[in-house]
Amino acid sequence: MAERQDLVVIGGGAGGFAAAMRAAQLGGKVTVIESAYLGGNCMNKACIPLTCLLTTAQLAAAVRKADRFGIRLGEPAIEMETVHSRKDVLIESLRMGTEQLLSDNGITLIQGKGRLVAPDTVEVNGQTIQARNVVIATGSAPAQLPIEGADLPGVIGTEEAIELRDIPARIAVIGRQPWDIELAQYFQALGSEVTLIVDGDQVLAEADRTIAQRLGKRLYDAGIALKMRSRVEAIRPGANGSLTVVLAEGKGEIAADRVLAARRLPNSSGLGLREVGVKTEGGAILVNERMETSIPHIYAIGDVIPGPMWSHKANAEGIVAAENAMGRASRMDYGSLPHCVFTWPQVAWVGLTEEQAQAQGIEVEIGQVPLAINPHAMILDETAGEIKIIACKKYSKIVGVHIMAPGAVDLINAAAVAMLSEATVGELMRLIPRHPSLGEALVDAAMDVEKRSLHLPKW
Amino acid sequence: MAVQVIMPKLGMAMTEGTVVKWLKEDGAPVKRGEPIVVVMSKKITYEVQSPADGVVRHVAQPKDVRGIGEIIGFITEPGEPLPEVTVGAAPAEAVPVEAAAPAAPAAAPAVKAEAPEREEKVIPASPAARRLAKELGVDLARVRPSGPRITEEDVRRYHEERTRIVASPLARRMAEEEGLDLAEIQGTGPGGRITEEDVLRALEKRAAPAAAPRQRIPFLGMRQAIAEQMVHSLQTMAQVTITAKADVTELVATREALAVRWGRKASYTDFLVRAVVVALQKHPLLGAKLEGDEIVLPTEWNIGVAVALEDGLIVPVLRNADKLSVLQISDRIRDLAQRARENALNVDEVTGATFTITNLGMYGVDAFTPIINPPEVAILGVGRIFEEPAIVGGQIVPRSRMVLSLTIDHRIVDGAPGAAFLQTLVQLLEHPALIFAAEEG
Repeated sequence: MAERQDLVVIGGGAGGFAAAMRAAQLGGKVTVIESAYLGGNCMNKACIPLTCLLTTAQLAAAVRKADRFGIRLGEPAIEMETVHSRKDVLIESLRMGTEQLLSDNGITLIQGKGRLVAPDTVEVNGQTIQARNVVIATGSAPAQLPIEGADLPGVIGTEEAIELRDIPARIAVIGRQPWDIELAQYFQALGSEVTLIVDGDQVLAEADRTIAQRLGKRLYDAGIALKMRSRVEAIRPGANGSLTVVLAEGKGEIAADRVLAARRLPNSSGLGLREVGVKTEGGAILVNERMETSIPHIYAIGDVIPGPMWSHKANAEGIVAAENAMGRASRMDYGSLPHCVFTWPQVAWVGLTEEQAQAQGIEVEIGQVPLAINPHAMILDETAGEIKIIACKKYSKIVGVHIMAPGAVDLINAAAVAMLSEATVGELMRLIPRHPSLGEALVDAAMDVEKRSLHLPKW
Repeated sequence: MAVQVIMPKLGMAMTEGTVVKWLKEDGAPVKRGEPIVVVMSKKITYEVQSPADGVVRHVAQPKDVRGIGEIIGFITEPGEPLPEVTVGAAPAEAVPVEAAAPAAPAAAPAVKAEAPEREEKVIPASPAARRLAKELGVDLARVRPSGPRITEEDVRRYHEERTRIVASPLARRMAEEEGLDLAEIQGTGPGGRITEEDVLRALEKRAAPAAAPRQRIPFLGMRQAIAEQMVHSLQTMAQVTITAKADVTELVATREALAVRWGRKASYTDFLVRAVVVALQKHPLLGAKLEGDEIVLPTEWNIGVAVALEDGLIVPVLRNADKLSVLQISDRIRDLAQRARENALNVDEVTGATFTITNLGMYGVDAFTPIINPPEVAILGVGRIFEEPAIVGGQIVPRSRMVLSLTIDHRIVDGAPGAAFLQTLVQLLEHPALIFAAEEG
């Protein structure tokens, strides 16, 4: 390629796409190098397909209780072929849309494996591209858990779990990341006997404790066997091709046909990082708030840098990296980055948990409303959740909002906007939500910070 | 035909000037001779008058710097397209202010009457809107009309948007609780919005080691009087300071010797007053006054002596100093200085000086530029006495020296007569016998 590029993006996933598009919007000549599928892990192997499957599973769960709403349907029959073909068609159309957007914006797409050969030179398919700026957006790759027996057949990761056409009779899920909980619920809804093994005392590692407790209870009530505070000692082959998960400290053994033992590691090898001098730690590329690596004009975003591996985070980081590459001054602010779990009911939060706020020495005030008092939640027959607001006593600053409710991943955006625009609890109180709606619980929670909710019973 | 408005030459050393403010809006009608724009050199500001009748057209904007003779605007006929100005092209001939008025309109190669830079048109606005815009100082061209023409409400909205403080609710709350004025906080958020971070920064600044409350001295009374007097002096006179070094070795010895005879030491100022009177009598122009269009020479020899006070200074006057011996001068000065510090001087004891002496020698000052005490026309600054090697009779010997700094009003006293006075004074100080000779004669 003759022409020097303003930006070369290595990796065409969610973050790389955002970086390329933003740089093109700012007038840059941009090339994206993708070694597999455009859209990356998120679109092809994680967020999109998983959410697709979870939606099917949630519908199945809804059908099972349809009679409570006056609809007699009986036990749903699930056709896995249709489930997967629907998902695959959807992915294909999203992928095509992405390709179209890149080409509409004059972005060059090269299929191949990109590698830095100099700070301003990227090599792909034997040719070199001169680049004023490089964004590394190579994402993450699945890896085995460091447990004895993790390499046994039948021990699977999330990508295999998503592609599984035969629903196992028994599955053990090791972990407490969002996808662990989501897949546990998915298999349970599709008829598996599920055991969730949690090394800790709450099912979601980073969630606010009360929310995690509510979710744990919900999973338990749905029939998922919870093994709390349990460390896996080993996975051993069992009888008839089955597996046995052995818990440490004699906490027992779990027989399963499949074991989900997933983790992901930054995909940073083979990129020429060491040769060029880009600093990494534990495989993750170190960056500052401008997404700059240790080498000028080389940026990194998404799963390949430290932090949670979420495509919405990568997307936001991609925009910041592109703007800085194109000469603007842009900073990444994680303060309003929402955490989202696509369970049913959904769990989402933004900002600090009560425990984190206290650890930071913030004098907190809590507003808390169980959905059991929210009319819309009652109508939906989904009252297990709650909305909780963590406020700083001084100035009434909102430091965290935690939601477990149907539609939480969307409802959280209202809280994120409030925090992003520095609304105080006072502004949230002045929201006027529709009645009945789940948003009423958000306002009630805000009012409860000052103990003036109109709907909470006196304890 | 467009008439140029150029950057005028406001002083001999001026090479460029700054546009301070347009007094007429772009497009406003103007009569010849009306002030249209304020420009500024390094020294003064000046209102440029319109060189013609017509419509004012801005080319340079406030804060723009232009070389002498460069075009800063035009006076055009209404509707006439604005000539194109080639930036950096040879400026029109520099014209001094006096002749600046109608600058040659044509000829200038810098001006090409080509495509209009922008279309001049009357901005549609209601009369009420125009009135309010004028009241609030709003430029109608910047107001976005909500309908076919700008309404009063549009102007009000524009003005409010421009003047209101944009701050996040959290920032407002924090400022309120902490007693901070948002108007004093610089916003760094989108559109200059004041954010939590900005308020935290302001709080930090406030918490910073609370600088000891700054001492405030009232700028009143004597302080203000001195200020007015000094500024008035420098603004109305052409002051120049010349210095000369006097060899005061003999004066030092004489003073010591007289101290023995008198039983007390006279100050150098006492001797200087006497010497100054003698020198003034020889060069009376240095004690003159300007009255209307006449320079009036002195008939009395009243010498002012600056006395430092705790919070200012005062210049008591020795009346008829020519009639006083050094010893008498010494007594009078002591008395005047004492009463000056007690704030017990009469009005006629602080007015009517022919000439003033100010001595900073006791502070180790060598030379300085004293400011004349109007309506006098000169002032003598006295420096410290110091020893330096001198060659006397082929030998290097230590001699005592003193620098005299004489400020003269050049409107009345030229350099040569000033220098002649100083020369006389130096001679008197170098040969103290002459001081006493005059006293006795």
